[in-house]
Amino acid sequence: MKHLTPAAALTAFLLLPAAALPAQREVPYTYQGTVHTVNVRTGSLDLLTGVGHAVRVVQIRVLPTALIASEGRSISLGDLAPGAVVRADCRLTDAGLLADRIEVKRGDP
Amino acid sequence: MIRATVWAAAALALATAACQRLKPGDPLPGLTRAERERFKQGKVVFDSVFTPQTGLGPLFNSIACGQCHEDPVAGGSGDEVEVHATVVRAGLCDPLAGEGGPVIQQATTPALKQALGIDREPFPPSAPVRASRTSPVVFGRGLLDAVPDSVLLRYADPDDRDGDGISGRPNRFFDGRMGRLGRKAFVPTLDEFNAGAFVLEQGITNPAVRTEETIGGQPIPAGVDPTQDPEINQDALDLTNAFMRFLAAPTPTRAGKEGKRGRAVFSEIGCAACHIPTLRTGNHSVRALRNKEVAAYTDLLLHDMGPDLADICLGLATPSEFRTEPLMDLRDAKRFLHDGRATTPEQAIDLHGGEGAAARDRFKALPARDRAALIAFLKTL
Repeated sequence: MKHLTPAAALTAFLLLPAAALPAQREVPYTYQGTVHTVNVRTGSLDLLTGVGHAVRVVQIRVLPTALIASEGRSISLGDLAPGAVVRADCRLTDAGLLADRIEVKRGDP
Repeated sequence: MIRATVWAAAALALATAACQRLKPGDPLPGLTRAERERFKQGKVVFDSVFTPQTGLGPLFNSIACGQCHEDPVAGGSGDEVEVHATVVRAGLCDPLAGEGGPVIQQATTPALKQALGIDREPFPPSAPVRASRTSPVVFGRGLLDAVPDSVLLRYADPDDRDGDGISGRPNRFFDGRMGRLGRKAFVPTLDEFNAGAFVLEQGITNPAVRTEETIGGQPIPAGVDPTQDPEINQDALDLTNAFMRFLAAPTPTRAGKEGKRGRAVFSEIGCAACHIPTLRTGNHSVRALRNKEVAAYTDLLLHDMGPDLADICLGLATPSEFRTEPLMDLRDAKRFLHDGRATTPEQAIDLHGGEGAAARDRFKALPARDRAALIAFLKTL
């Protein structure tokens, strides 16, 4: 493997788009679980997941730009009801899990 | 001559297999040599005793799978009784994830006791009911795991459209999949049940559940659980799954005249409406599990059992809804119902309420001879 000189490395760093840097550290995660709580004020939701009887809660931040859909229609975070089964496509960032897309799989608990 | 001998041997082997009476703890008939080897190796993991040095705890209920599932052999029942808790909030079941989850562990490692001064996980303050759960047999669970959802859904009648007083509905896991394992039919698959049980019952993290339970919702104090996660590897988990999957359902003992009469009574009075005598597995990758008739005596669905048996919710199951208990190896059972409150089959029948009330009442109205016949039949299972 060739090693970059410090100057070349700095040039390469400066040429990178700013947004690309954190994106390299973001890991995609998909969760399917039951909505436990929704907090519209903080833009977040807690999702119940787990394995067997080992229950885990996944805390997800939902940016205003996230696409939230139910039966093909776009809905808002506040429309997500506790008990609904959703699939959340997320990215693990330095600030925690961020949802890009949330789709309601089953609305009625 | 050789061909005739081969055919005779094959016919004998088939006849032997057909007549083979499986004892508790036997592997499924028809496993390959490699599968039988994994069954044996899995039993070793199942019986392994964990210590704090090998990952036990810091919260746990037992030090080995085989400590609770031991009677009459590995995979059988146990006399341990667990504590579970959940709460219904605004019509939904809250599994109390923020307070440590629905299983309240009854033991701690010395290090956790030293750090927090507790002998067991604190009971969740917001839980209104303390539910008890006995350790059931796990024989035949691989077969139950292999029954397609579509087979079970044929027995569901959530709105009791046929008017027989029996509804039956599936529970659903958090992700919406149909559940079937556990007293509330919450867990969809055997492998998931096992992976969850490792961490809940023994505090053994594994590749499917990489984090320990919290202690009543609080993190584990630093230094209390130094073993690196996961505390068992995928091989150990896979072998345990193989042992569980390949455990046969014991063959019912031969029913005498009384037992045969009891089998008929069992159906006549309506027990078989929920305790479905046989289920059929689907197209499984393991030949020994593929398209097999299982003497299950369950529909793996939820039924309302009335207020006297009610305790906690789980998933869609209300406090009074329970999964129809499979009646495998009933002849070795010493306690009955989900919490072991019945000590005889008669008591267990007597405690059936809700959807089971009509069959219970028909049982109680039977002549003594028929009641005895039905009990004799149950003791063959």
